[in-house]
Amino acid sequence: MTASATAAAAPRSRRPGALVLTVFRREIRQYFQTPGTYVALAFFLLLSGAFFVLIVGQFVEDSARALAAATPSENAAALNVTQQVVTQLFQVLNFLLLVVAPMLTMRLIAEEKRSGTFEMLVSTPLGNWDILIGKYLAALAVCAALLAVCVAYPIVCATYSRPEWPVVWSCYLGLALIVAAYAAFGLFASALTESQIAAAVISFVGLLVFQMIGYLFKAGTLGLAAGALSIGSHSDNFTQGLVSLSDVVYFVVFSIFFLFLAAQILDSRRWRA
Amino acid sequence: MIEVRNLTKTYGDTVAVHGISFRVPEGRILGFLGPNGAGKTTTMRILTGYTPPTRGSASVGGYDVVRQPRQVRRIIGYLPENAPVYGEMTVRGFVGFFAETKGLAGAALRRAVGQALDECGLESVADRLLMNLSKGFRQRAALAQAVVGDPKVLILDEPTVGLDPVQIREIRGLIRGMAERRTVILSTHILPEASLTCSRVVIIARGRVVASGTPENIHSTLQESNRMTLLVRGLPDKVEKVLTEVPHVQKVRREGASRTHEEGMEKPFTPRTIEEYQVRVEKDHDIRAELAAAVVGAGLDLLEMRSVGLSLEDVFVHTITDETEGVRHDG
Repeated sequence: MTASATAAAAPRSRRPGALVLTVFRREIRQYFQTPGTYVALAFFLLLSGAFFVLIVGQFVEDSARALAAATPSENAAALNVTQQVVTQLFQVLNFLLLVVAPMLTMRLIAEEKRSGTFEMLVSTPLGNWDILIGKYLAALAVCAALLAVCVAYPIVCATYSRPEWPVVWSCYLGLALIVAAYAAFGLFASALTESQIAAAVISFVGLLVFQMIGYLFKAGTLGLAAGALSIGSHSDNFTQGLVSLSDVVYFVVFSIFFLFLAAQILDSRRWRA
Repeated sequence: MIEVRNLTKTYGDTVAVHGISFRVPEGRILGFLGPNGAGKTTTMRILTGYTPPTRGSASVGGYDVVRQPRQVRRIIGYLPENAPVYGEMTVRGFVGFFAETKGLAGAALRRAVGQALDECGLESVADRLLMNLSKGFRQRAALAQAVVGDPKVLILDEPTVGLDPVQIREIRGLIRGMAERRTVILSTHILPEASLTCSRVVIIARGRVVASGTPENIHSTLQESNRMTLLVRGLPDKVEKVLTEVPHVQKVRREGASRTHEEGMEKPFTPRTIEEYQVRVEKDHDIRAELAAAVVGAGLDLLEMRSVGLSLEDVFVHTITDETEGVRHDG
């Protein structure tokens, strides 16, 4: 049989993206069937809810105290629901996502490598990018669902006060970008190892470093570089209602960079001795 | 259909595969036989494009596995070692997923999945979760995954490992059935598997091909002698002397314990003693008639005579031993 005859007979994928969708659908189904997903969701919803109650409680208390004070103008900030509740909530959600994103992404590739299905997967016509993007989008979809549930918090705020909606939306945009970066890093960590726990620890510690690096080094060129690389320093603006191009670009580039690294790791079996 | 030329794969200082070459024509089953760690899995991984060779080349269906991995992956079905599956999926979902990765959709996908489930005898468990199924069914599901979409080439790494004898027989039957329309390469370290299932066998040890051909062929080329088993009544010393004197006999050995009467083993040898004798005869000489004549001519009773060829297992152990410990022929 000649090569051309076989080539004609080889089935082709229907359209670009169809294979990504195939991987995506399987991963979403897998998320629903993995107990870990529910643990992560419960952890996130319970803690974010608890923090929301605490933050609102604190705000109510502060407001009451401010109203009772002789000169209310001095405590005007205390009455600002946007700064006292929305911004605080942003910080809490940011941190919770830092914990939850590794829990949601640790399985993606590590578990396939451990169980051996990875070898099966990569000998199908799927390309590395089909696999990575499909898995990444599935993780993002779950994170998006989490963020969607969190819309309840500003809505509750809005029932009793008037938060500045532009700030709320910029916070949401910020969280969406942050979680995209977390998921990309988590996927990269999952590609590094066969152990889910190792993947989770690597991504948690790695992300924590990226969060803190801006605060650790403040002086000189090092501080400048650290600030430019830090997740923390790029997420502050969102809490002020500021959406700057450089922040958006930072998170997009961060995500693409770690997806690219993950692809290199998947490919490394082809060149590593 | 599958061509492997001078394939070498090293991991650091370890040579996993050392310059192996073989061909599998279309529609054949090739058995890839060797002890654990001989380089079988490495070779198969090279064929699927999972890992590239250090030197040499391999092609599947005319496509080079290094330069055209995607085209190769479109025409192969691969069952990795230990038959991994996604435990949280149903059998149908699992096979369907792999059908999708092969570009199938809609009615064509459902038909292909139905066919694969049917071929692997999985309809009865199609909607059960894989993690709740026995190892045998999981193995079949993994096989169905390889078969779905009717790939031209099947690459099966240890398809029967860890199964019970009944399941092994079933899987072998499945594979033989599949080979009617496909080219199959399967690896195993179990000999009967190769001789029962495969039309050709390649034996590898320590990353090198030590023998190849049809099971019968390997047999006769590697076999240096024939063995005969004789059951003779008479004094053992006399029997041994008579047998040794027949031309072309290399060696005579009395087999096992005395089989005289019910009285027991301690009884001394008498002319009534019945013993089994192993006679090793030079290759390509049929001396059954001479042996019978000699025994009867010496006044002994020939009760039974049969020829025992070396089993493929003997050949296997023999070649592997030669390869690993230098040439060593006992007897």
